[in-house]
Amino acid sequence: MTLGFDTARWTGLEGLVLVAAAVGVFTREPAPLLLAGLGVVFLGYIRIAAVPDVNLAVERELSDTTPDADDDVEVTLTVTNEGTRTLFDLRVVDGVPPALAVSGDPARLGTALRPGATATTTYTVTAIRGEHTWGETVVVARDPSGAVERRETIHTETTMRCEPELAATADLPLRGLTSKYAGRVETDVSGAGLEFASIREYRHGDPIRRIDWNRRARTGELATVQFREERAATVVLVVDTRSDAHVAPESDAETAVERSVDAASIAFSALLDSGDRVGVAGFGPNECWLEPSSGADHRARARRLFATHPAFAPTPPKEAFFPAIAVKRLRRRLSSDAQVIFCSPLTDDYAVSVARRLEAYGHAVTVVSPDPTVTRTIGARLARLERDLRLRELRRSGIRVVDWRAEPLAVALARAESGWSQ
Amino acid sequence: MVAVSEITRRPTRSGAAIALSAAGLATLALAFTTATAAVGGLVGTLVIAAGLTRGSRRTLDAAGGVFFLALLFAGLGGVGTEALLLAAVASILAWDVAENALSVGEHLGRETDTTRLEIVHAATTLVVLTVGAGVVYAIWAVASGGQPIAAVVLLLVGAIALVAAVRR
Repeated sequence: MTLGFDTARWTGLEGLVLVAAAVGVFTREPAPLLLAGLGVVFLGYIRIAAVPDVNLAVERELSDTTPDADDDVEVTLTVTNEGTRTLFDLRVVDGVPPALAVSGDPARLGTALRPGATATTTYTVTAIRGEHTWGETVVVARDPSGAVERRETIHTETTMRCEPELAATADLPLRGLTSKYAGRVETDVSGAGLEFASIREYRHGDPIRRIDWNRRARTGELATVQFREERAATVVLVVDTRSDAHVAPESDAETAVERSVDAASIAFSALLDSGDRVGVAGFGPNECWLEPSSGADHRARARRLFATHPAFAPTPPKEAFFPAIAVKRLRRRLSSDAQVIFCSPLTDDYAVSVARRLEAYGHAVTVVSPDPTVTRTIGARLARLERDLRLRELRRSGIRVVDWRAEPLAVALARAESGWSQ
Repeated sequence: MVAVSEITRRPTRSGAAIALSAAGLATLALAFTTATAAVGGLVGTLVIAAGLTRGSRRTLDAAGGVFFLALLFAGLGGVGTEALLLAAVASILAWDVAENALSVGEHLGRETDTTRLEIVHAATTLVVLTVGAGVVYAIWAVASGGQPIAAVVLLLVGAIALVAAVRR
């Protein structure tokens, strides 16, 4: 994009020159004519101004292209004048990715550049999860008098990728819905396991190890001890990524989507470690689906997905979203034995209805809800109240809810767990 | 996420400093002509300072108008041609640098280092104005031998026509 136009900053100078000349003529004083003469010379200088030709090379260098989350990354922007003329007035604004925050010096540069000369500016961005691509650098060049300017955009490909390690910092208790594989979730099914469940009459073929020999010695009857079976679960982590979920208590605080993705990645890692099969889905305009599975490959896939999938981008999506279709599609994908962990700030009633519908279809739902509300204004307090009511409604319909305030997820889980009926 | 450092879209400090110095110089030069003009120069400087504080282009334009009137009054006083030309150069420079500081502030903000940009801008304007004042002064010195005013006016009109004919 190139635009050359008049800045109109000297408009009216001609009028002043003519007024001065007229005053000189009427009063027959030479001094106003002198002023007019000076004005004419200056007008000539303004009139010969040509729109500067911008021929710039822009280079961008990152101190680290794959930083960890919250690392400070230094960006060095180098601008070289490759044209044949001096650029007297050059203003450069770098296209910092919208999700990154610039701290310290701004990502801007103002200077005059001789042909072949180079100007450099360094600024610092704080890395957050995701794949960040720099946008176009906007360049504004003016002629020396500032009468005309040219705007140009220069594209320099730069990408920073920040993929945080998946760390299991909190253990997420699951509900009773399980698959047929052995695992960690205690079920009410009697069979082999660790925790005592019941004793029943001996049936032919029961393993000798599970015969209650004490009873046999006491009464002479054969009986079999039963334990609670421990099985693995299939869990799908559903993250609410609708634009409604892109809310934060303050303008520079983490959004609820960010925290939801954090919760999902913690849960993912913890569940995978305990042998469950885990999948990931995004509930938002950008479709995202990772089939439940297990293993190291799966962990790596999920790590990349959480970091770089556009659905989990820290900026709100712009695409249109049809929630009813998305719920249907999600339901089709969930296997019948799949539990759902739904990460959503519950800022509207639709999120509640999604959780309730999934629960009604037999997927045991646990809602992990980062709390984005504040109490500063009456409106904010009302929003908090509404959210509290939604949480209560969910609990009443038998869904487990973790209300995650500004504390580590493990603390929120411990508090929530004490209130759950097993 | 860390606190985002927003840029301050206000006139730059370096530009404001140069502009106010130039306006002060213009007022000083006007003090060598007439008292009315000196007061006008002082008012103009204050209005420029106000325009830079508020970041208002309209106030700066008003300051330019005040300086123009002060210069006219000084000219009608009929004393101190050299001081008048110096005041004219300084006041045009003051307005130009102040307006430039405003636009640089809008584009790049106060936090960006723009000293080089603004000094180059002020220097080019100053050179052009000095050359212009020199030319005008030379013509005046040569022509003050009593040429008819009509000839001078025609010269001026011719120059304006020539300038108008220059195309970008």
